[in-house]
Amino acid sequence: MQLVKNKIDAIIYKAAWRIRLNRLSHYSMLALSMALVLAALGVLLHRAEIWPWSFYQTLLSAIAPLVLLAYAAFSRVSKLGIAQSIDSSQNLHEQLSSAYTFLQKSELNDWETAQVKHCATQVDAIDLAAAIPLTKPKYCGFGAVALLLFLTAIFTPLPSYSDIEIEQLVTVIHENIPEVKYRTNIDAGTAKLREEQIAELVRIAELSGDDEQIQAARELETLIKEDQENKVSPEEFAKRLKELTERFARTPALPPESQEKFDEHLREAAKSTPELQTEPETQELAEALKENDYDKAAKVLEDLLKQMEDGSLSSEKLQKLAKAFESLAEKLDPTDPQLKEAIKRNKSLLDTLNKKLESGAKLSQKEQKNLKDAEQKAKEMQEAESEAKNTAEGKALEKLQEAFNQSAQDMKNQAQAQEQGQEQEGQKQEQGQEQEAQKQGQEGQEGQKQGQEGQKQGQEGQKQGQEGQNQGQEGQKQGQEGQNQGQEGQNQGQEGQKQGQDGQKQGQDGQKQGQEGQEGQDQSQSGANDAYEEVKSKANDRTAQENAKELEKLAKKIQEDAKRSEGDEQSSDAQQNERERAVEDFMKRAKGQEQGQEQSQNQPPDAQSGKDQGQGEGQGSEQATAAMPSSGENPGVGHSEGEGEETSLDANLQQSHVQGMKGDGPKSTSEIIEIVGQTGFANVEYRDVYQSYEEAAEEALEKDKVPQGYRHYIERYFDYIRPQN
Amino acid sequence: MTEKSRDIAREIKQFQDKIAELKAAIAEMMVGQRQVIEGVIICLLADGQVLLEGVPGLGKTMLVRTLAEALDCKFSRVQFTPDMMPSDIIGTNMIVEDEKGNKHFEFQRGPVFTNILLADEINRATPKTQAALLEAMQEKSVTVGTHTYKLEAPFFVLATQNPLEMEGTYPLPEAQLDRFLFKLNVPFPSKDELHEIMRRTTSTDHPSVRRVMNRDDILKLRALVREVPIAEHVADYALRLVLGTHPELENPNKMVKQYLRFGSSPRGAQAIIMAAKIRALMEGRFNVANEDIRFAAMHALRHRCILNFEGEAEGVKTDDILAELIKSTKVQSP
Repeated sequence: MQLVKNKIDAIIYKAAWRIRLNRLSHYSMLALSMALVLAALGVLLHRAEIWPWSFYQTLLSAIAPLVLLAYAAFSRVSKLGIAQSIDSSQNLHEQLSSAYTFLQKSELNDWETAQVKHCATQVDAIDLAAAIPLTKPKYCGFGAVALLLFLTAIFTPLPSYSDIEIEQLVTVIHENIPEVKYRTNIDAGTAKLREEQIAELVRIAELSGDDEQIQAARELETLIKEDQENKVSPEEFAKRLKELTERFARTPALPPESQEKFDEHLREAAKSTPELQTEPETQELAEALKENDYDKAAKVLEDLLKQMEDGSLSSEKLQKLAKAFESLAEKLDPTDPQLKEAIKRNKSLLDTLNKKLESGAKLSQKEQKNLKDAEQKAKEMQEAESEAKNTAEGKALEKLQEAFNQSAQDMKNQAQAQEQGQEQEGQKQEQGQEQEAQKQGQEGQEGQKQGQEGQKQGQEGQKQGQEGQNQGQEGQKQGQEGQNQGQEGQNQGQEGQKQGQDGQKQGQDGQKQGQEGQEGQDQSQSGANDAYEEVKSKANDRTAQENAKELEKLAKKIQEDAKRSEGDEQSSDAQQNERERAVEDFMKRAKGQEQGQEQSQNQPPDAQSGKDQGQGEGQGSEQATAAMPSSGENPGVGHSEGEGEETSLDANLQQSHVQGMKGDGPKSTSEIIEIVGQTGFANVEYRDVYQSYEEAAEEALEKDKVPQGYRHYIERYFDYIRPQN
Repeated sequence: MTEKSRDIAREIKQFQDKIAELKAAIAEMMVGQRQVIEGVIICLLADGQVLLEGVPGLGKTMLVRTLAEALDCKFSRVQFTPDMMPSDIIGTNMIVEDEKGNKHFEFQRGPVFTNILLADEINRATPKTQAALLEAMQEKSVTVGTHTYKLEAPFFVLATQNPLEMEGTYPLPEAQLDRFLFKLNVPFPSKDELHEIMRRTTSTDHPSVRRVMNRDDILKLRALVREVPIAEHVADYALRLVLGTHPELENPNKMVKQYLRFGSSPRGAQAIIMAAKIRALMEGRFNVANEDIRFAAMHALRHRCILNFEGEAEGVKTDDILAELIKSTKVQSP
């Protein structure tokens, strides 16, 4: 039995090798083809200087073919499958495969033994060469193509382009790139409106001095401009708008914690500055600062500024204000006062020790230690001071401090200028007395003429400043007096002329001094203006966050505009189609009615000219109505049965007359002017009423059921009529 | 492996001889219809029943009668009609008076108590009567009242039905169809066969059938066929064919999925294997081959596959579906 088994196993083993050989030849060809393709690719890349060729890369490209070959050589071959193949090819009726299966059992019955033995007798007759012939490799076609590809890759000359040719090519490509024009994401009217709104918010942002917010707002402005120039795709528009919205959402002027510290510091400074309580204006300022009401503080400073511009503040008051401002500025120092005191003390100690050291005296060990400690402490304190100043609130406070200091200095200057102006006035009064004495000698027309010149010069002085004006008035006065007295004698008039010239000269001097005074006043006003602007900017800092929110809100509105614009565009086609359908439907119905009427007219005469004509007409209209539902495709069918029932005509005709009344109608321009003449123009500013109207409209939008589409138009209407600066 | 003095090759030879003798005896009466005769013999040896379907006059009844005569077995023929009752087939209890004048019930056996039963035009009987055959076909026994009567072996039912005259018929239910090992379609004879039929039946010759086999021979042959070994991969092929008739299973054949409602029951697989074994023996082989499976599959599965509405509407035949299935099922296991 073992012999039988060996015999069967041997034939299957031989067949397995034949199958392996076949498989190896097929896969070798495939592997070779793959290797050639990869090599061709590598050569191409190498020649195009894209991929440098190396040994390892060669090895890498050989991996795939090697894997294939290994698979062909060592992959499992099913022996049962081989037996089945032999059965099939040799027409053995599953004898070999059955025998192989039975032989795998541990014990065979009589039938199985008989079957296996019988099969063994058949084995010798099996022609393996016919059962499993060695075939020529598959994929020969693929191999040939791969070889051709490889040879092509090696021998095909690569095209060479000079730099100039490449440049020309690039130019041609660039010239031929079609210009892309996108549709606008928001309509032109809305864009204009948004631009104006953004400009206003940019202005507020500039006042707050928040560079990042300004930049973001300007970017938003640019985005809308680019969109109107069809340069932005809808995707890019949405992306950039989203980024800007996020930036607005995260750009507060001061971080909340810094804002709190800033507010607290300012409150403390206002409380600890008694000088602010001396004047009513500064009292008000102190109260505003204590409450952190920067708008109110800005208002107080604005009033002060106006007063300074008017020159209505006395030098004494200016001095007091300057002192109060200086004191406040000192309290605004972001450095801790204790730290400041400690720095002072430490500096004093250091100076003492250094002087001692410079004088050649020897320092005791304790003193040396103190010196070192003092130096170390000085360094630490300086760092702490610098750190305090470097915080956001520290910087803001420092800026405010500088502004108040400058303001105080300017006030002092103005006060000084005023004092100088008063001295000049005194001098002028003295000169005026002398002139009075001389004027008594003036006579005749010349004196009058000279007096007029003096008056003229005085008027010029008046124009050039308060002081000059005063002097001019004096001159005029003197001139008038001279004119009155001039008639007394011509000799005295010559002297008067001379003195008038002197007066002119003095007037010029007064004018000059007046200019100086005015410059001083201007300087002081500019300093005060700085303080006002700085406080206002702090007020704006508070509102900068609101401004950022406004900008964010605006950016979101623009997003909605863009969405709506897109929706409008899509719906416009649908609306157009709907319109066309409606027109077509109408035409069909009209046609049907027409046909119906025609039909009624074509009825037999007896139907039309029956006992009464009313019946004929009645049928006509009835047919027309019946034809309508079929969209006019089929003409209406008229009644042609002859005479119908008699139509009753006992309807009473009642004539009615409606008395019309002439309405007011729109008013003409002349009527408006007439009404204005009677009642006067509106005395409330548009800017003031706008706010209340807008609020009322918003309230109505909230409460009432307004369709979403109309809601937008109402909002946009109010946006359009918003008062601009 | 046990070495016995049993000569399997000789037994196969004897089997072949017997079958050849039976075929020859039938062929003396029957002209042509070799496939049908082979199928009937396979069913006889597999201990199964056979349903013959064909138009009238093709010799179905004659085939059965000839087989019965050649086998030297008891033979009964029942012509099914719509008014037939179950008791007309299985028998009934009758009051009988003995010599002393006492009356008692005595079971009067019906035609089912035989070796070979010809149920002619079975689809003309009511379902009730058709069902009376169920127990006899499957269990080889008959129950009347509380008493069960065993049928004598071999018990072989050959039923015929006419596919044309469907009016007034009661198509066999699926459960009963499943009891038939094979459903054989009786084809129309070829011209030569028809010529021979004319010659035999219109002359003075009246050939008689030789008895070539008796009951014991049949039982011996039945025992032998069960010993034929079948390799795993061949049995696997048969099972894959049976499973392939189920449209609800994974990756069914396109036609199967489109036209079949139900596939074969496990009885179908049993029928294929048994029939394949007999055919292998008839061919003188020691083992079952795939071609035996293919031969058996067609006859064993055609009445076990139920067409869906689409299949019925389009007039698709289960034979076409099975041919496609056999063609698409790979011999080697995946």
